[in-house]
Amino acid sequence: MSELTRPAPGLRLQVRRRSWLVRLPAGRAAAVLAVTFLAALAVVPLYWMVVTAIQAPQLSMRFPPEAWPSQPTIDNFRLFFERPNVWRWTLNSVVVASTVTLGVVMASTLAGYTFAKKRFVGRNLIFWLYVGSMMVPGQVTLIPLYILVTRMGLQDTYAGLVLPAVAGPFGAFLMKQFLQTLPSEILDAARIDGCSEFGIFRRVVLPLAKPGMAVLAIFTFVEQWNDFLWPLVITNSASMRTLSVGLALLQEEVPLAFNLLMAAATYAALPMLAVFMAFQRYFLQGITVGALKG
Amino acid sequence: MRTPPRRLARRLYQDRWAYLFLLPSLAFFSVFFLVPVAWGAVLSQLDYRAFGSRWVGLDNYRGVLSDWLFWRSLANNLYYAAGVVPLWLGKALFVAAVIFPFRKLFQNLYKTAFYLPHVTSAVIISLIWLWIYNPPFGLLNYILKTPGFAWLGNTLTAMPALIAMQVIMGGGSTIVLISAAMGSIPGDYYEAAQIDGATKVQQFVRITLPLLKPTLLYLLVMGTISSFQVFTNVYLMTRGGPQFSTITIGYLIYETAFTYYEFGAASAMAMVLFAIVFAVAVVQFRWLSSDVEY
Amino acid sequence: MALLKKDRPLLVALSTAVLFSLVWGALAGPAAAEEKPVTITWWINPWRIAPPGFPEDKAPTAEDFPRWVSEEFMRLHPNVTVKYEVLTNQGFDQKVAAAILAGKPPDILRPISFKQEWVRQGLLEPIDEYLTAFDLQDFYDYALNVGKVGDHYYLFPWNNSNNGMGSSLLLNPRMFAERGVPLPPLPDRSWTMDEFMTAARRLSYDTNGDGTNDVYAIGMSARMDLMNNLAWFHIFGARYVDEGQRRFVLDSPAGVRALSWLVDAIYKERISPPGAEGMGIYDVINLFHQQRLAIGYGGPYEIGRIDRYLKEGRIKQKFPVHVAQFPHFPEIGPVAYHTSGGFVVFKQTDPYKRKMVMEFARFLTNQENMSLLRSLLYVTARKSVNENLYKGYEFEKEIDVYLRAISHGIPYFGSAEIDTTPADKHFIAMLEAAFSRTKTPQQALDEFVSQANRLVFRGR
Repeated sequence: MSELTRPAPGLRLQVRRRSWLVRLPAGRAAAVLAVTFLAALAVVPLYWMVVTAIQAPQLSMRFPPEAWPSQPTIDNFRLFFERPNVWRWTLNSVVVASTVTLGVVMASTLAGYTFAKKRFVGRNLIFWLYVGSMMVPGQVTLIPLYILVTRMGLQDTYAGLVLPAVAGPFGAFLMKQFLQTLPSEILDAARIDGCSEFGIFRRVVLPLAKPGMAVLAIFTFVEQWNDFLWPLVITNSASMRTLSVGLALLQEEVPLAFNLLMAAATYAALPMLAVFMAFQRYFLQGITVGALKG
Repeated sequence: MRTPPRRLARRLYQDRWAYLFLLPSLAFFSVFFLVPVAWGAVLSQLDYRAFGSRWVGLDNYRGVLSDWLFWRSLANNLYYAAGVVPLWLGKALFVAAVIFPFRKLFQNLYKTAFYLPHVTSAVIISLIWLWIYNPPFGLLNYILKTPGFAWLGNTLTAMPALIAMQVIMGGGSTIVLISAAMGSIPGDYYEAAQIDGATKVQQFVRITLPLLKPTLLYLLVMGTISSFQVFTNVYLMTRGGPQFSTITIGYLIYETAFTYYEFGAASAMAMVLFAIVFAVAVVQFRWLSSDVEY
Repeated sequence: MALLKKDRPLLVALSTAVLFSLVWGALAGPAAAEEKPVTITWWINPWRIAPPGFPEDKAPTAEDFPRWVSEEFMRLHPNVTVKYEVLTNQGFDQKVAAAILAGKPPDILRPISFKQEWVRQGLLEPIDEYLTAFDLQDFYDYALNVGKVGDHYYLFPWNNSNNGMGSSLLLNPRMFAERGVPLPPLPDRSWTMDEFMTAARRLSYDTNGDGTNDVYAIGMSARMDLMNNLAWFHIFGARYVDEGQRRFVLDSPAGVRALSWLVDAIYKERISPPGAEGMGIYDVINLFHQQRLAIGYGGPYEIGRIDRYLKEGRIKQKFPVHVAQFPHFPEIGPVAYHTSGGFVVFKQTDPYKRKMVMEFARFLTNQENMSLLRSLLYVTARKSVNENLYKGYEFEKEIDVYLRAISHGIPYFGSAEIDTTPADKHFIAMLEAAFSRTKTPQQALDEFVSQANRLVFRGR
């Protein structure tokens, strides 16, 4: 996959753009319109969520819905924050997503470097297991994991939420792909200078791995923040729910209270939208090896 | 492992740093992935109880395979995958092709629009669409002038409604990935084709598609696998109804395990799901191994 | 059983050990044990009960009652520490299952639904020894029978009836008056099906002149509280499972009549809003709160819900509510859903602790503490408590109507011997099929019965 993620040289775009416009103006225009429509379809629901969240509650059921809130208010958010545990859920989500991210980045960078730059007995077997495990549906491990973690007495704890999530193989795979591009000469030079193996990793590999680690960290954080199934089954007291699960349960508690629900959804979505905007270029340059979710 | 023991021991000692670096990742991977997978296979042959589980051999499998609801969920899942995967991939390919010649700024604007739902959790997307589909208060019935129509309460429309939501909101990362792959196609191919008088569409069909084949096949398989694990939107929007028309394997496994506590039967279902996904993966490696290096 | 020679030494050793332990227990047991500190844990789902002396103007939280009752018991027994935990309704069963799996269930639990499975797995203490003769005649029989497995009782009854779903209806008198429809008469507000239909037709009308009704008499929905839908079936004389607890019999002619009537209420009579196949109980409650339905579901507890929603700003406008019976056919008579709940005790190894846990369970369910259920407008499981519970109370008339309704109460799910929950989803699917008219009532019922029998009575 690595050759697919290389950025495109911008030169030949010139040639192509002119020809597109000259040859198929009508068809081209229709295609652009269609894509714009599709893009609008994807964004409008999110926009509507935000508008409803800041709209006066009594107008949330109004049709046609207003494109711009005529009576902007923070009432819905106030209602939402008056509910028990909202801060606690937020804290839980932050704690879990950060801890998992930290664990995944550390373990994966070490493992990725080892897979990329070291030859050792069993390397291919272990790596094959890692790659193969990405094919295993989450439902396969869900039940044994639940029993395992429960028998350890870790259900309803941070450890129970975090530990299984650190085990994901994707990070190691991504870091291997990234670190393969490191020239081995640098490592050999450091070795000749008498650097210890750990010293090489710390002084040479880590600084060069930073871009890859950043990508992995961002993706892991977003994924964990949005994770639903595992936190749903392994937590059961109100104070241990994460924001995603809390939202889903809120939907059962106050069904049809759309003004409140949209405020809650906006609150849960905003941090990730902010992360996306801040690190846009990481998301849009195409390091999405296998990170494929609908 | 044909090396004599002493040499093997020396090899292992030489590689000690590799094993040490790999240890954190491998430890997590073993405890929270390999062990559960193996245990899942054992669980599927037990009548699992909190106290006094019994070994029942293949009874769970017999029970699962003779349960029409399981077959129903399999059929539903095929329907869902057959609906989502081609539409989602087609949409992503179309969008990527149309926005490719754009200036960087506009390209990114479109990519951002398509990517935003992707960083928003499935829980939030489901909440918004629950409202869109709501019979008396929903946006869709207002737009289509079909007051009171229950999109999610009707066997004919419930699954298409879930598919439509997934296709409209999905595909952000796919577009990015396809764009990146398109960027790596050398420009002189197109120039040569243009000199030969090929139209844009011909160029797309003759050059772009064949060269994207590995990427598209990879996406196709990963998309199929992930659509066989669909859970969150079914859980939040339909609970498998109406009349079991949207019950998917992922949801059925969850319900069997965590509503009825039939861990054995649920594990057997998960194993069957595993077998299906594994078959898909085998097909993938058959088709892809020549084109893509891991 | 003849003893073999080689077993003799073993027998001697055993009897010596038994004797020794008996003597040692008699000498050291009670005196030392009374002083022994023990910790009792108990779990309960949210019950917003006001403890004695709770300020009238404040709304009690789910913590207030468990905290009060735990502290009260500790005051009486200084060597006992009582720890309570309030579990959410969502994930309740899962949490209990996980605790059992981890081998750490609480000592006392108020289960949302009593599971006979626990008894079969030997997880519960039988409570027969701890029920006095007075208890046995003071508790309603059906309340005791909820927790009866084989010849033993496993559940201390506490609340009698639930929130009223499936037992009674709520009327909006303002809407009745507006349409010139008389309310069914006190004291029991019972009405025949004919009277009900006459009223319902008048209560369903078109407010904006577009030719379709937008205000309706009553809501139907497939994903409604199971009890409400089952109530309609029982009114027609249908039963869920047969007397011998061997199979589902909802497909009887009466059952087909009932389901046909439910479908006709939407499509033919137009007394219920369309879209029932896609609605749930909260849609129906919501429509009633918005005064788009003249009749809602539930008992006095649901009146409390309206108050709570008003305070939370989820209802704009206060409106009066009356409790009424479900309608009945004169030849069948009134029917209502009846259930009750209480506390179970998980297996104890230490005899003294067992004694104290049982003591606490009895404390929770004694007359005085049981009467606290009044703040939820619930009815208790003790006849002696119910006699004067609501004398002179604001909602006395409504409670009285409700009590009269549940005097016709029957359990809808057969005996507690069988667990019908696996059939629930098929029951919902049946209603979805019938309400969307993808199957005839007869087809839908036949399908349901065959599925439900396969799941629930497979081994019988």
